[in-house]
Amino acid sequence: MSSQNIWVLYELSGDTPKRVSLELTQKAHELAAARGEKAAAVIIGENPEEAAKAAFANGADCVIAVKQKTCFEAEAYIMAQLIGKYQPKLVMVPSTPQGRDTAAAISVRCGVGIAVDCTDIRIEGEQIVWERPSYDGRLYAQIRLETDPQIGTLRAGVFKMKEAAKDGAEGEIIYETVDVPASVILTQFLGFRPDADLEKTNIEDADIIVAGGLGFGSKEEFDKLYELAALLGGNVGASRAAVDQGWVSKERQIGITGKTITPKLYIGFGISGAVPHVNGMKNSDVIIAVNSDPNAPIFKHTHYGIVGDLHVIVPALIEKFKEIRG
Amino acid sequence: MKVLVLLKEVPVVSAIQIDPETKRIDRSGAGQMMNPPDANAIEAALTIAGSDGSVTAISMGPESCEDVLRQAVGMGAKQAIRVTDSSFAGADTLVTASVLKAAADKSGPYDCIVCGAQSIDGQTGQIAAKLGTLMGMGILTNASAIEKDDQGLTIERKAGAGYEKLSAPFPVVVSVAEGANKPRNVSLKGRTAMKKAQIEVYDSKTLELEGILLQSKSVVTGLAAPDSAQKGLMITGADDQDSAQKLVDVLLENHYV
Ligand SMILES: Cc1cc2nc3c(=O)[nH]c(=O)nc-3n(C[C@H](O)[C@H](O)[C@H](O)COP(=O)(O)OP(=O)(O)OC[C@H]3O[C@@H](n4cnc5c(N)ncnc54)[C@H](O)[C@@H]3O)c2cc1C
Ligand SMILES: Nc1ncnc2c1ncn2[C@@H]1O[C@H](COP(=O)(O)O)[C@@H](O)[C@H]1O
Repeated sequence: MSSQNIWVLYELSGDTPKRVSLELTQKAHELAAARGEKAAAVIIGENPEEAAKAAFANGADCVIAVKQKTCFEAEAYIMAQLIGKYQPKLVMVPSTPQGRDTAAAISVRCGVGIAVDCTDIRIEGEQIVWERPSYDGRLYAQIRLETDPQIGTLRAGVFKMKEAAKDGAEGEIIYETVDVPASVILTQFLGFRPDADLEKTNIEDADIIVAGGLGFGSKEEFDKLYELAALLGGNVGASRAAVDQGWVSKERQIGITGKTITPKLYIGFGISGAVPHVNGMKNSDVIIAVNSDPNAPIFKHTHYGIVGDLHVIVPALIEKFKEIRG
Repeated sequence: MKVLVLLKEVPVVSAIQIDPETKRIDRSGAGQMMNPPDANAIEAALTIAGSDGSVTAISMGPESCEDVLRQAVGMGAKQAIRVTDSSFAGADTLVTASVLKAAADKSGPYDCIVCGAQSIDGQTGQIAAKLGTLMGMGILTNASAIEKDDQGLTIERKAGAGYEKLSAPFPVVVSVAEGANKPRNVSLKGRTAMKKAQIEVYDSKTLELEGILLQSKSVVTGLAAPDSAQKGLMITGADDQDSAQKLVDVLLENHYV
């Protein structure tokens, strides 16, 4: 394998790759194609086969599989060995709680720089540019790494997933084994406790988001969004201002200090469209906004805008969809 | 139990002005403050140390960061150290973690190192895992709840639609999320301690650090306010009821819903 490869470190839940791993694979494929290189998925886990299939379907040219039980410390150790052996050019790691720790440990083990929690990666000539929010999301920083390989963590949802283009595609799986010294593994994962309230507010996975802002004026009015969301089969998001009012939980906040979402449809009601909010939803497929102020900045980002009163429009939408769906 | 807490002084981010036209950043009006989760880190450190233990606070930064160290002393830290050197300027997370390791080695050993989950300026959340890896200690990040027993710490942290539970034996590095606990107030006695606090200063000589270790491997090449997207279509009805109907039509015709 050439040294000029673009790697994605997979994160699995059970044996299934997390969606972000596939998003990054599609991006790796795109970057590799543009540079005449190869995209590889690195899958560490007891049963890597299912994830390997998904990797090929989403554009991986090859899979490096390490068939063993793992944890983030072991993963970082294994990655450092693999990086030493194959010398990839670029390593993308999901920016998840685990991925961030793994990437930090890889950076120490390999003595390389790292760009964390990025929202974009671009190739400009020979230079790789990582882009990430900083200063509480008010500014974007461009990062250049002076060491090889270039390692960065990238947020879920920033690269829009296309349908798996090559269902059933196959490719080469290279199996590796790496002995991990027991002294490396100090932290134990004891389990996961699902939280029903958090489950309900998992807005990142919704295809349709109806979002509300300060324009609602009260919690009672804001609460109407839940009925609209249910009718559309979507979920409810909010601006930070609505969260700050206590109308809705922080878990539903969209934006740079909230969640990044890329639904198929975003409809914002009574949201002005401040930059920190827009940055959390601007990659949605279709953006629609209802605002009484024709000059609201949100209209610079919408595919369809409506100047009007949400107190009339939200109930009207609920009635109309009740008729259609009823 | 001997506990180290790491504190960072950050700009008051909300006071930074950005010119919407030129995208120029004006930091002059923004003061300095303690990185928000670091107050939770101090509280956690004091709890973990217990009444017979001691907490040392370390901050790497210019003289102004002595304010956050004094705050920690006011809350109950016994020792405060500022780490500074002209060669540390512009340090990336790897360099920062390496310098903090040297300072921890010199003033330690510690049973536990506590820091904030993430800084609001750099926003990297890297220090805990980097320091833990450098020191060969267990790593527990982004704790929203911490329990201590004789062996070590068990934490919970938010992940997707629930909480992950993790544990690690002492010595351990733990990073604490904002809001994980309620930081105690500075007592009257604390206020006196704050004023009297002797802050030790370590530099690259005291820490015997130099050369390659202090070279940052990542460089910020640009810092800018984000761009805006393109303008689109407007839906206009005779009144709001009519606009709602037209919106429903758009949604259905285009199979958006
Ligand atoms: C460091 C930092 C981080 C931030 N992070 C985020 C973030 O992650 N997410 C986020 O959302 N914000 C964030 N913000 C806040 C952001 O700058 C805005 O303050 C916020 O998004 C505004 O929310 P809003 O649009 O609901 O409120 P407003 O800006 O007050 O807008 C309300 C809108 O409702 C309209 N309206 C009023 N009445 C009606 C009506 N009857 N019918 C229709 N429209 C009506 C008004 O015309 C107005 O445009 C952040 C700010 C800072 C400083
Ligand atoms: N210069 C510094 N001096 C002391 N502690 C720091 C420094 N930088 C970061 N930290 C600690 O590491 C935490 C996470 O910061 P960061 O990894 O930069 O997001 C902060 O909350 C601090 O506890």
